[in-house]
Amino acid sequence: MGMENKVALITGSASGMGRQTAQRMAEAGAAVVINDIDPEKVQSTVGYFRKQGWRALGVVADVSSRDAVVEMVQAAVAEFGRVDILVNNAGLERAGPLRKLTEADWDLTVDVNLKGAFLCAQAVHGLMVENKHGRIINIASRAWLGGPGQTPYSSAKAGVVGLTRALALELGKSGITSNCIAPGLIHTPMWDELPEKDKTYLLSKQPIGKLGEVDDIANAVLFLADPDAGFINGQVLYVCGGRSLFAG
Amino acid sequence: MMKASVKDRVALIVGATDEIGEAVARRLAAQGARLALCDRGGERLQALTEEITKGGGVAAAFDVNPCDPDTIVSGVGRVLAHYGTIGILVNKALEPEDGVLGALAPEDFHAGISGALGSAFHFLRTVVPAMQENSYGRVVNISSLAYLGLPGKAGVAMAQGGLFGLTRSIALEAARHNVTVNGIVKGDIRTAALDQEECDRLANGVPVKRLGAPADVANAVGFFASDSAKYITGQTFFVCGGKSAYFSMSI
Repeated sequence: MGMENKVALITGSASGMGRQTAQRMAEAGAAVVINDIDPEKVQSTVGYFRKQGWRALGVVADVSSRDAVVEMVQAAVAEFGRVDILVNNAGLERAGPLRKLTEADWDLTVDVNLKGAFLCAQAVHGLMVENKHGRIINIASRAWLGGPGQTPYSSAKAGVVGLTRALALELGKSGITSNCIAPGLIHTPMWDELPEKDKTYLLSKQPIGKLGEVDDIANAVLFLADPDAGFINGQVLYVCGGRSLFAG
Repeated sequence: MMKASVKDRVALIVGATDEIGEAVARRLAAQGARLALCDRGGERLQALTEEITKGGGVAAAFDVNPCDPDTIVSGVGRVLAHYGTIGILVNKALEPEDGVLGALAPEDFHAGISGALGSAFHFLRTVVPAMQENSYGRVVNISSLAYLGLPGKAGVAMAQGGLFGLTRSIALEAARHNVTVNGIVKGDIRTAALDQEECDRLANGVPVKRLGAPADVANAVGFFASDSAKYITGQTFFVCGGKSAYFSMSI
């Protein structure tokens, strides 16, 4: 079994895709580090995981802060001894027409989505090099291809793709693979809150005619994180029901 | 980890008579698929079929010339008569004889295209409608990194480059029928044809500093052929140790 006794740090894992990914990894035998900026969500997620008999550690940390990221990795090592898998999933979006966006919108979006991924990769890679094994999986987005009203988010997620390729080329020789997943429309609480007419429109644009589920992302992460995936490196895996093929 | 399941699905594999095709067959059989091995008949195909059935798997061989549209159509008909359905199709593109432009003859154009692109086209044309009727299908087209363009590889690039667009077009057409179509592009894979010196030279050019194994390709095929990848379609995904990142047009 590939995941048994692996240690996975998943940022933004107290809800949504991150939480489902952590759960699938825990079910497969990995120890997981649950991270979010919301202490209550972290606590309730860790509580649930431990009740299932899974090994879980909760760390509240803002991934855009270098000090917080370094402390988070130290806590992971103190608890589990190492980090084998990093899933850079923490992300947010500040959307809007170009004329309305503020510098703060840009900074926040880039800091959490891109800088956070860089800081976490930097903080764990030394451990992975020492162990001659690692999996870095960045959650980008289909939006990196560009979307109207998404200038900060598209830019940050495009940065995640570039980061992934650079990491792949730099760290590949040390037994570390770096890949990213570009999710399209996924069923999350945010989707449930959309007006019906928006949902109808977006679904009509999906080649597959349906939404993705958080499990589709979790399955893709597990595929890339597996020890048998050592020859997969530098890839962008779109999990989007075909929307990345044509978004017009 | 529980590997992605293809239990009881019928998998038609084209070109199972080389190390990569064999690895794909073994992987899908190990995950519970029933195999239809389509290739020019011969000892190697028979040996693989027997190996899988003796190991407790389900496999049958079908003598099909992957470059001949007529035998493809009749072969697929025989597979459907035998199994009743086809859930998975794996097209392994043939690699044409290649060389620099000046060394390529006019007939090389047709030979290359029919072997790599034509084969996939005819199999898709024959199998995808059956998959759509059944509201289930997983198609994986296997090609090589050279499709992005390398000196001396215009034949492969031309033929397998067409697979890129074919994969995307059919993926969009078939998406609403729960049929996914994806491409796996293999990088430098260690096979018996390569000597150690060649392996070492090639490994140096791969970011992970080793060649891939046929099982690496097979693992990726196994994922895309399963229900774990049901929301993934039209993708061109490289199993290359990171070498694709040296090319533009690899994302």
